Amino acid sequence: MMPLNALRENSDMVAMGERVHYLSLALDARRALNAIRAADKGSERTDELRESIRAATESLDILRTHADFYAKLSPEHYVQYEEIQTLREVVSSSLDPESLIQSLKSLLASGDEKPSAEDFGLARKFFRALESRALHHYNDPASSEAFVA
Amino acid sequence: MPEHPAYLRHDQTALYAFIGSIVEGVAARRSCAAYSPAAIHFLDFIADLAASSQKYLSEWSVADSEEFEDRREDLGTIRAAWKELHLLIKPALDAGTLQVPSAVIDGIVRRFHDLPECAGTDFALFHTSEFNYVQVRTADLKRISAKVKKLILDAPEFPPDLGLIGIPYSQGRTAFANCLVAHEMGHYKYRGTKLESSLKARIDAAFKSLPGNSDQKPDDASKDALIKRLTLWAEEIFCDLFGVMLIGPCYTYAYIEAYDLSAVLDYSGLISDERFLPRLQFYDTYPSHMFRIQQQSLLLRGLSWWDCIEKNCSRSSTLLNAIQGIPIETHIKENPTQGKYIPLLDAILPDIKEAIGEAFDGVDDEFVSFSRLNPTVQNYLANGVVPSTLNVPIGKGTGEVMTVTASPLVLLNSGMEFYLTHLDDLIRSIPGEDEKRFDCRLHWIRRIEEWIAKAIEDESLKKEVSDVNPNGNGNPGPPQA
Repeated sequence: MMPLNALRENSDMVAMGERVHYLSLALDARRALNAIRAADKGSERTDELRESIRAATESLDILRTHADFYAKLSPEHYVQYEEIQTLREVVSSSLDPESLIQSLKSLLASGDEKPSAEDFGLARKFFRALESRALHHYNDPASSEAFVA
Repeated sequence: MPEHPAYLRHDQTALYAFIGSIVEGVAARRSCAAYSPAAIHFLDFIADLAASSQKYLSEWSVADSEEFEDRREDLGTIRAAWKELHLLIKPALDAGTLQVPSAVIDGIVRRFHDLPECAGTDFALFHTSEFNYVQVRTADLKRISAKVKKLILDAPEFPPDLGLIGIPYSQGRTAFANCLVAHEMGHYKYRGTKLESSLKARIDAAFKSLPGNSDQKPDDASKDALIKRLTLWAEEIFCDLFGVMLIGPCYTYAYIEAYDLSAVLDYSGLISDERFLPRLQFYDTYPSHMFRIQQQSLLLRGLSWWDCIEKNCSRSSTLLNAIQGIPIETHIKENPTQGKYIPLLDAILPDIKEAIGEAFDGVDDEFVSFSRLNPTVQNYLANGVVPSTLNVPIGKGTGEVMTVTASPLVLLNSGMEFYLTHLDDLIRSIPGEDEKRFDCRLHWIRRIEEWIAKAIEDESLKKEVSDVNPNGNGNPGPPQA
């Protein structure tokens, strides 16, 4: 098997000047949070909410099943290396993926299956953590290059 | 309703001021310099985004502690977006039309317009402090802008078909070094290609096909890092080959000079292992220059341009010939840590070449035009004449000539050939000049570059006139509504 040193490889990645992907993820999380807040206040389930939740849920599902995530992503998922690593960090740090996925899916449910206050709470907690973590990486002073190739 | 907390007003004001400080002076600077239409589009976008962001901030409020928890990071996210733009604004303002080699770059941009679906693209230039040509990933900028617009509803759209390219601040007067912008245009073109969207899966397949890798855990983070590295390497190769296809071998010659790659040749023109082997080491995000120049050479060998390269007696051409025979095993051997990844890059080279073929499908490589006009351009340059309007002999010995203009691609390649192979002849032909004096050489190199830039500019003006007035009667067309 080809030996791969995970720690070294990952530390290299931080310096690759791709911090814009962290900003992109923070903006996605912010958009989702705003949509969840609107839904919690009784607004119609908007496209904003559906798109945000679906992308996150599908990505979390793939992470949970240990499937090939980065190599075979469809555009609906978080597609960048930095986004996936941040998602991994957030889920592994404090959240139970099973409960989170259930709560997120409940936000998309239609008819009488209304999401509970706990579902809204968990979803908001997740996206808040995702936005904060993405901003933390974005503000790494070492990653000063951006947007350039 | 509870009153909006004072500490939040403080934080909002701090961000409001941060945005203000970034765009402060933009209007003043703009009135002191002339900018290209593309640069003006970009600066207008910044001004509009600043206005909408500040309006958003002035209306931003939270009603209770729960909303505070959910929305406080909103301010940090907007601040981060402005930090990104901060990088670009001053360099764009510094790059007024007097400071950038507009004629040469315009000529290369016009060539870019010949590509399918690229006719409407324009590039704004800015200055970099390092000796690096860079392309701002406008696809990312557009994506970020679209996401910002989801938060700040009246934020402007990023100008469509706008690319941003950085050139070293010191290279404004040069012509040939700026051929390297062709590579940066490749980065612009690469975004959204089929190659970009399929590359990760292709690399993954190549990875798994290697002995012993089929049982690698699919979610291995280190494998993700490897795939990421390979995609970056592949993009660089794509952009190099794109540069070659866009403007011909003058791109490769400029590349060789920029990185002093002919240093790997010994006194007699053979490859010196002592200087060559250390240069085979790949970087984290870039293949080695030697690997890159080999790929360019191999592409050129399959094009009509190769005959000219073989006849060219410069050291750069010698290198392009010599580097072709370096086997992949040598690249692998000289990369103790990364060598194992090189076969993966090698495996996806056909995909990269296919993508290049698609990008240039139906585009004239202009070699026929070059072959026809190059002798005349060489003759003009040897006599110190700007090759704007060429009197090309028709037939043999009839004395008849046809008056034509050469395209930027032809002029750049002819000029580069003259610079590499006939500079000494030119200087020797001028009484009182000495080809051994460096100040003298520099003076005439600058003159050659100016002649080529002037010819490209003249060709551009003629083209503008003929576009306005296709009858070619020398009079401007009727006023447009």
